[in-house]
Amino acid sequence: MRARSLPVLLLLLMWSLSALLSLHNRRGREGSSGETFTPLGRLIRTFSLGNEELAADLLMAKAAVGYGRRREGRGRAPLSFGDSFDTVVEVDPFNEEAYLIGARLLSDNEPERAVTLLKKGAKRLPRSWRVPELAGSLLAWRVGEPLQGAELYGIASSRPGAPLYIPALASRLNREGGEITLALEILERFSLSRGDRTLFRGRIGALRREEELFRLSRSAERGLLPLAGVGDFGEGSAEFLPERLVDFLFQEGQTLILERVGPPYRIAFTSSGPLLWAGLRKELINTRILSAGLGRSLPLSLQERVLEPLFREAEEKAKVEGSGFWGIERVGELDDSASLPNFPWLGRVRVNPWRVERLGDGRFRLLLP
Amino acid sequence: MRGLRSALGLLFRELLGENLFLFVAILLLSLFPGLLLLKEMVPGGGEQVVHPGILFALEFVPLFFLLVYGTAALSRQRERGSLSLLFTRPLKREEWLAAHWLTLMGVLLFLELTLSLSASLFLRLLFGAPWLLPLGKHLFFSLLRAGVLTSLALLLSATLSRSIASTLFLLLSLIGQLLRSGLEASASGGGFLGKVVQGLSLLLPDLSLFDRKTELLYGLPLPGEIYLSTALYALFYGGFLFFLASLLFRRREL
Repeated sequence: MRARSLPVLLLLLMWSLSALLSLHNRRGREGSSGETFTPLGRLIRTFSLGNEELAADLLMAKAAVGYGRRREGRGRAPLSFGDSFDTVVEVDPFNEEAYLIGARLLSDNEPERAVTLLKKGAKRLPRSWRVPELAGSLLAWRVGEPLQGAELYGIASSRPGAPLYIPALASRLNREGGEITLALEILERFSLSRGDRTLFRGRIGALRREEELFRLSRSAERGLLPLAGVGDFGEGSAEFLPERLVDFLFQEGQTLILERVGPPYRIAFTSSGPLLWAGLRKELINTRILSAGLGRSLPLSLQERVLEPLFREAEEKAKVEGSGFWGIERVGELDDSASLPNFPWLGRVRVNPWRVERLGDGRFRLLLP
Repeated sequence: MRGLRSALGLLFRELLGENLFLFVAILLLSLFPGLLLLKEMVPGGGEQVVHPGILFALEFVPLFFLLVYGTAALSRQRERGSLSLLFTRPLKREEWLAAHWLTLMGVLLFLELTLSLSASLFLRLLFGAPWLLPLGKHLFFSLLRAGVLTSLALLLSATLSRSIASTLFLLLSLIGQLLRSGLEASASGGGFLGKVVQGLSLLLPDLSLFDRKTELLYGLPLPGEIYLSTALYALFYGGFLFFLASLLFRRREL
């Protein structure tokens, strides 16, 4: 009897020990990270035997439940939700909701991963505007890449059914990022695709003007630099004038200094609302430079070939007649002209930080970068 | 002891001599799906310290091998009628069972080592991947799991016919692997049924305890207590199955 019961007792002992260890391990695992990893989507796709949509829905439900568990800090959850949703969209690549739900959940902690998921979706679903729209929004406001966000908004705006706010946002983000041409293109394309010329008419007009001003400023910038280098401000000032002028033109917040740089020429540096103005003879040059340069780019070779002789000519004339000058001043002060030297002016060029336009009579309003 | 030694020699010769090509096929079957199909088993999440395909292959090999050979170990001999002839030798039945266990584990160890080394070499040469370091840990858990599965296969083989044994083996292995998810589901449901499932689960092999793929894949820390408790579980539960098998085999008509 004893010999027979011994093996049974031994069996029971082993089983109970193993059961205890199993329970112990289970408890240990509940308290641990409790993370799982997701199998390859292609594998699930193969084994779903044509029921990819169903498999994807189940996987998505599982991932969403895992997400809730992770948030509440209980139970097992996928190691990376990016992996889970990658698998879901690999199993059923045409499920728009999977991309959207996945990205919204992922955007909490992994916005870059959410964007990657949505970019995949944007490629696979060429008629969906919601997928690139969400990607654009995440890029612009979560990841902090407004220009990339604008690009995605641009894609979304070209998709059928995209609401009006999408091209408006794309355009705004592009404009704020300095891509005025792109901003304009998006609105124009959208207006054309809808066959409604009145759409965004006001904004398109404003952007066209802004684009023109931007181009003007770029050209003006090229025209002004050699002008600043003309040595007709007296010997002492010739060395530092170009640098100071450039500094002034491309930096805001400088204090106004009205400086006599040798009779009869003057130059003024201002903090805001500056003016570039031309005197009796140099006005001709300024006007020609700006006319030649504004609205199109002016290559350096052209500046040297065409403008340099004009500089020299004007310089000579100004020296002989003692009445030519050019310079920069604050808008209000120049308009009053009280502080300005009493020179006979023929025209002037007006420079404001954010505007460039032709004012007539040889006057230009410039955009400073 | 001499009986055991001769039995081991006999079984090794039989297994390796008759089935060498099949073993190579198993290796290739497990290696290539593992390496190629499952290359992106965890697509881009975190930094993986070991190839997931190898982990899959290391789990697949024992299961497949034991399904084919383990469950047939005793039942095939019984069906052939060679078992009664065998016990004309001075050999105890427990010794014969132990010889089977050792042979199967020996072959499995050989297969898994070959697989790990060749896969690591392959990945090292092709992709310049780091090798060996995390595989040792996985081999540890994989062999513990294989030990429990071998005992299970022998228990089924000793008591049931070949086809039923292999079917039941596959079923129990799958249940064992999914036990943890099932337990979680039943626990979350609560109630009497949940408790019954929890109780029953203690009788079944809990193979999910050996599943440490996530930790190994991402190089997450594994405390020493886990190694110890898992090894003890394998020892006690494997021992329980083995003793049960030997008890039943001892009383069974040949």
